[in-house]
Amino acid sequence: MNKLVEKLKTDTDNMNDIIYRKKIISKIELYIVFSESLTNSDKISDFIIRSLNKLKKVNKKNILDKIKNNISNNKVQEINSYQEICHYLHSGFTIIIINGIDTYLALETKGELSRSIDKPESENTYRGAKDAFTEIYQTNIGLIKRRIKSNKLRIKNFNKGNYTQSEIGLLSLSDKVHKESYNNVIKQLEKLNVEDIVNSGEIKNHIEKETKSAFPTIRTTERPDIASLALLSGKSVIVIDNCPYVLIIPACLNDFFKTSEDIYGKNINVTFTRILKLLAFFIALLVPAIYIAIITFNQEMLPTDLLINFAMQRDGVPFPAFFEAILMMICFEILREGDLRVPGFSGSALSIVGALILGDAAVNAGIVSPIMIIVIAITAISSLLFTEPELINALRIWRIFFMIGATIMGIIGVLVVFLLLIIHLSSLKSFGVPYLQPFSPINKKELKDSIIKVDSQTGGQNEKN
Amino acid sequence: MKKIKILIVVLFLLVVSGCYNYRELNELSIVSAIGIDKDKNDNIKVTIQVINSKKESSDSSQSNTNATFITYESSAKTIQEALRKVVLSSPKRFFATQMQILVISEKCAKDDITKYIDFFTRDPEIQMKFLTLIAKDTTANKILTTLTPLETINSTNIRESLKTNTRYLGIGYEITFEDVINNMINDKIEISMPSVIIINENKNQDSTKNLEQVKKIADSKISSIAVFKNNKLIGYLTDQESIAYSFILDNIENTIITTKCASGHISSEIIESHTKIDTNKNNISINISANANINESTCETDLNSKKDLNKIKRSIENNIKNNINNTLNTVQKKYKSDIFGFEDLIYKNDPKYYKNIKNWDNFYQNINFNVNVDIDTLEKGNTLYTPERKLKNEK
Repeated sequence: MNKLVEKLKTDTDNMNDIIYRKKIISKIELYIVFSESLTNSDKISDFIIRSLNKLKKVNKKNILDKIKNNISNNKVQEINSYQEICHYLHSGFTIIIINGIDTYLALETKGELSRSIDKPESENTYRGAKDAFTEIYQTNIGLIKRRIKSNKLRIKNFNKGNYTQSEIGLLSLSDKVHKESYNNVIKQLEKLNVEDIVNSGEIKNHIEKETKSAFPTIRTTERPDIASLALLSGKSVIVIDNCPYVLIIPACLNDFFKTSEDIYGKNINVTFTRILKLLAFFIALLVPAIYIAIITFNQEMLPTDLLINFAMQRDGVPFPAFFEAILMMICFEILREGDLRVPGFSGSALSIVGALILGDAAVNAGIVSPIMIIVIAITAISSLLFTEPELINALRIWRIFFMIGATIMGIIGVLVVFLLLIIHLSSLKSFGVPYLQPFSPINKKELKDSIIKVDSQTGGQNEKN
Repeated sequence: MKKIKILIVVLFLLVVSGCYNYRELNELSIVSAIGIDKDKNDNIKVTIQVINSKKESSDSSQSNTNATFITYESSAKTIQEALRKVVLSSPKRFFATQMQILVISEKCAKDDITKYIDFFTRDPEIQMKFLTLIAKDTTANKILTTLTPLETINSTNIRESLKTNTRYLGIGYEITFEDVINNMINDKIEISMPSVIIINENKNQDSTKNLEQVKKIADSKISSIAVFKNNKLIGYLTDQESIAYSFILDNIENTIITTKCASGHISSEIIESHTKIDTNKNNISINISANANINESTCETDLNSKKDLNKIKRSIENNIKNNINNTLNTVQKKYKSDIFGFEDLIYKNDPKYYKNIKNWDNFYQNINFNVNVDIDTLEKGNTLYTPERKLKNEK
């Protein structure tokens, strides 16, 4: 019995998932070791065992070369250490250990443990590409490479996590990438010292510098076309094994207003959609606060007829406007959270409860005013225009700040919080890039593809290759 | 850490100071109009019209026949005192920034209007954008308590009808309280403001029944311009004179002029009217240029012929011109009040000359007016002939 095999057996506590197949070729004893659950048994029997059976005239000296030569496997790696054996074994490789030789062979025999490339789920489009990233690292890289067929595409690999050994790839286009943010990311990734990584979100939390801000400085996407566009416009993309979401770095506020449709659409239509989104952004932030301010402080701002209307609706509502708004907002957030987790079949029950109990019954019972339902509803709908969940959550937090400001000082309070928001946003940096770019500081090139889209080139840069 | 401490202290300050000016909408009763009268004891009687924002039933789509406004009344030596007294009977705080109209009774206006409006200029909560009217031949209280069928809130009714009147007739004009105050402060202009009357008043009629009748029983109606001299009401213009007044002040957007001809009348609509006033010492020339559309004609004239059209033009021009001349005459000789602000105009156009004027009142009597009206184009409408004539022609 081989010593190495013995060691492996004791280390894995004789796990019956790992198969040790003993084979003797020309009196030379060798072991074929593989993990049954990670590998494809057809590959092993077809390529490895069959090729080994055909070997003739071998001795201890030439066996390694002969195997390497004759094996019909696509990826053959020579390895030397025990650690490497473990690593490859757990990555779905088959290891050939030859008695008396210190060099071992790792042969790629990964099994298909993934789903096929699917439609994107959280970022829909009606004209764009319909593929989305999967859990497999190589597939994800492939999806991007299929779009960018250039030598300039660079991939820098990292391996992080003691147990997970997750593969992390930092993609960039060498001649277009924004150098400062790229170097920043590399520094962060090298520094990265985490036990384990399962999801890209964890990496995001560890490398993001603006941890105190609610606003996201990294964009996540499940669409390869968005990732490729980001690369083309000088951004870096981080792909992580086992996660169907990739990270785009850097991400400024303006980037969250863009969708993949923007490239396909006519400029004027895209501009319209973006203005709509900008409007929705401010509605989601400000409408409840402005409503509270007007109802409790600045009643003189409304036209008389509208004020009478509001007054009639508010009649009999026992709570202050702020409490009423918070109540309805919490109800909505609970509904949203519930809807996200609940299995599809009970979704309709949830919506009935939401619409009837929270909408109609609450108004009839005199707990909230109908106008408040409208205010919260328009706010909720507006915030759902954005695909990035972090941005929606940031809007939610700041909305509450605005409401508090409005409750304390009315419209002036809203203004004060708005100033704070602008100060906050302009102090943010996404890996060295100002968060409010291209508006502050003004970047004329990028301004052409900000809220108003004028140029036809994506990313606002001329093609070089 | 230090920053956080400072922030906490600042936040505490905000909490301790309480919510400045915080008032929930439910705690306010919205004042839509205020009326000012004089009672028998020479006290000021204030009528406050507030909106009834009470929900009538859970089914809001059902129209209710109940009044949607309430009026409070009280008398005192000053308006402020009267308002304070009213608070005793109201569960909610009065909120006057949304006030739409101020109605001042004829009696008060004849007395001296400045006595009654000081409160409104002092109170910071009141925006001076509300319209000001004189209650002609009636009390402000009555104007504000008359139920109106089309608008549920009668102050809105008055505001809107004054607006429509300004736009399509030109008898009244929208003058905000701010403008009244400006005219009052400026000693070179006399004040003038539109008036409102009650028509078809029947004292035995239950006022809520008013709404149930198709033929209106009582309603408020915008009436002609009230003329002041030295802040005292001295009379009213007639409806025609009010239109002329609007012509002179360039307030006409649209009005109707009816002229006679041999066999009938022609009504034409005056549009795009512009007025330019030039002064030259004691000669003032008023030049009006406008366009007109013939809206209705019962004349035998041939609208196709240039000659006849010109005739109609001339008669419209003369009509307006005579009307303006008559009005100027009335205001100048009868009321002796400078509601048009000619004094201000001369002062602005020719300050050197103005310095020589010692007694404006005498000077005003000697001003010569020269009125020119020019109708540029005259549209004939869709037909050239009256239907009767058209038939004759076709035969």
